Amino acid sequence: MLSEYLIFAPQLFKSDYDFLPLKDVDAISFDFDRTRMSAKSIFLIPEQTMMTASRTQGNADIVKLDKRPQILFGARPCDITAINLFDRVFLENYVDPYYQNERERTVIVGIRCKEKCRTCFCGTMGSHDPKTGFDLMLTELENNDFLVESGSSKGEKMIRSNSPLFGNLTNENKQTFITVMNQINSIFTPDVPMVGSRSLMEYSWQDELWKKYEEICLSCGQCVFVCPTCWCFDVKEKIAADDSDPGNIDKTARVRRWTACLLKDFHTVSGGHVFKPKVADRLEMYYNHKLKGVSEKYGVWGCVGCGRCVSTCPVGIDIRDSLKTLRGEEK
Amino acid sequence: MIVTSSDKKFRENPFLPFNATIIGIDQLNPEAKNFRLDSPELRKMYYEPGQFMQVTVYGVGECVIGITDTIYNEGFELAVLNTGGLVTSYLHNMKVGDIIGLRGPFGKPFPMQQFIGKNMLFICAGIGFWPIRSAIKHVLANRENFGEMLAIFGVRSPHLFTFIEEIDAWSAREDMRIQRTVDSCCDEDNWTEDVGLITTLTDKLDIKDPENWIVFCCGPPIAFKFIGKSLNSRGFHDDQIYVSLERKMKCGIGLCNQCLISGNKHVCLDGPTFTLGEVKSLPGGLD
Repeated sequence: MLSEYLIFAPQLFKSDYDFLPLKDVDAISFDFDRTRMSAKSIFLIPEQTMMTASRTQGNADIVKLDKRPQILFGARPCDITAINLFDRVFLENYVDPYYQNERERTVIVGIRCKEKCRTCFCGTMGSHDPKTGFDLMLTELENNDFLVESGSSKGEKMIRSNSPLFGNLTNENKQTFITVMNQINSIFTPDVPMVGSRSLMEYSWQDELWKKYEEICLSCGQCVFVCPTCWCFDVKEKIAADDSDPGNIDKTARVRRWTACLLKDFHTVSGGHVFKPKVADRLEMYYNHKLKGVSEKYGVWGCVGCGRCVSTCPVGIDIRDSLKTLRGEEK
Repeated sequence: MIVTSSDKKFRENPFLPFNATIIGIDQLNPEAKNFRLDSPELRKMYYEPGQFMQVTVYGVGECVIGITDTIYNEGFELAVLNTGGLVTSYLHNMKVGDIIGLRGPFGKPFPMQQFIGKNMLFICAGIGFWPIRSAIKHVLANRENFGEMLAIFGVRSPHLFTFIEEIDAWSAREDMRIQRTVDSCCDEDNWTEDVGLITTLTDKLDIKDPENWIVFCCGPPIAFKFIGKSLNSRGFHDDQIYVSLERKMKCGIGLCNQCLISGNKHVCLDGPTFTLGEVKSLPGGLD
């Protein structure tokens, strides 16, 4: 496998887990905790060169996309739910060829969570049980015995071509599977009722809720970068001399980069006008898009309840508290 | 979206611009230039009033420019204000023969078919004239389909008027009225028409039957607020007033979210043309 595919798997790096290229199989972490960054960086490349062109002659040309197959191993249900949303964003209306390429060359091997991680509230967001978006899904039964479901023809093919790795499902396995599923069901229950939150968002414009953030939010955008469902990007042009011809300043490239709606720069247009100068307005837009805009356009919440934003926020803004405040509960 | 000439190519990769050559440059006013462009794609391109293009200066950047032109005219032109931004200031240094990139057209056009039989009022504040110019030219090209026409122009000072010959030609027409105002002027300007903000003209509109009129309004966001208020007081309803919004955009197809208002409306897909009623109902729409 290692020689055939580039494998991204959760591994301990410094003090956090991340999806990193795998060199040694033993380095994979089956620890239940989610990774620090989400899996989105594998599909929506943080800095993607989109095209090259000549500065004087134009003639834009798409860059050659890497087609080598790769595996994302150990994606958690929240990551997979987010990928389902990305599929609708990037493949449904206009096909984004860069996302499509990454999506097609990647086999997604998911693993079900049997326990809640530190900041998890995916029961609230209903993202603990994705129905699509994975090629294979592992469920740990007991003692490193895994039940493997396939979620796509890509997954089925992988199972067939590696049949010596798999045993048959016994009756006993099935019973354990039911027990595990019931256990998952009982753990991932909603902490905050979400019915009507989209409408509440609509009616909470300029509420006190947002004003209190004005004083604490640093507008650093970290929550956006770790969020598995945030996909805002910025497009820039640059001079891109390649290594073989360093003196050539005629070659230009168009680059797409992640950006964050919490940054002032995001709302600044040429001439210096800033559409949202207040931090509270920008944070409000962030919540508005997640809870109102995404659900209106794509029919799902723009939040999967992984809580990465909660653990990364330097000032401790907690989306769970925001949801509670939105529903009139004092925290 | 309207089908463009490069449709198949566009579907394959909506981020790739096509080449266009600058074949002429006119100085519109001290701050603005009009670029006449040509390319095989442009000659086949279909666009409607209110749409916009993404303009690439290779190696510098890409920006959004509203279309000021209609398909009824030969050629394709883009009016560009030098805002001091990377792309526009670089564009202003370009010469005839230089090559730029274009993507588009994007956005929801003004629903001109719905206005057939109506009287048309155009309110152009500053460079807000340019997107409206395409609608004016559309109405003039199909003059028999529309009723009365009145266009109101306002700029900061007399030397900032653009497409002056065209406006003069329009004011000579019998089937169209023109009113002009400047915020301020000095004696050397020899300005003989109105002085004052554009609302001084809208405040004294002599329209008896506002329900039979459609209003196009474009200008800086602050102008929408005051023009809207002024028009409401003259009996115009918010849903008769069509505006064109401006936001930062990076993709034009609703992916990058840079133009998102109130979390659920993309100016590039749901706009840039809205009715004033729609914009008012969007929190942050008039920012």
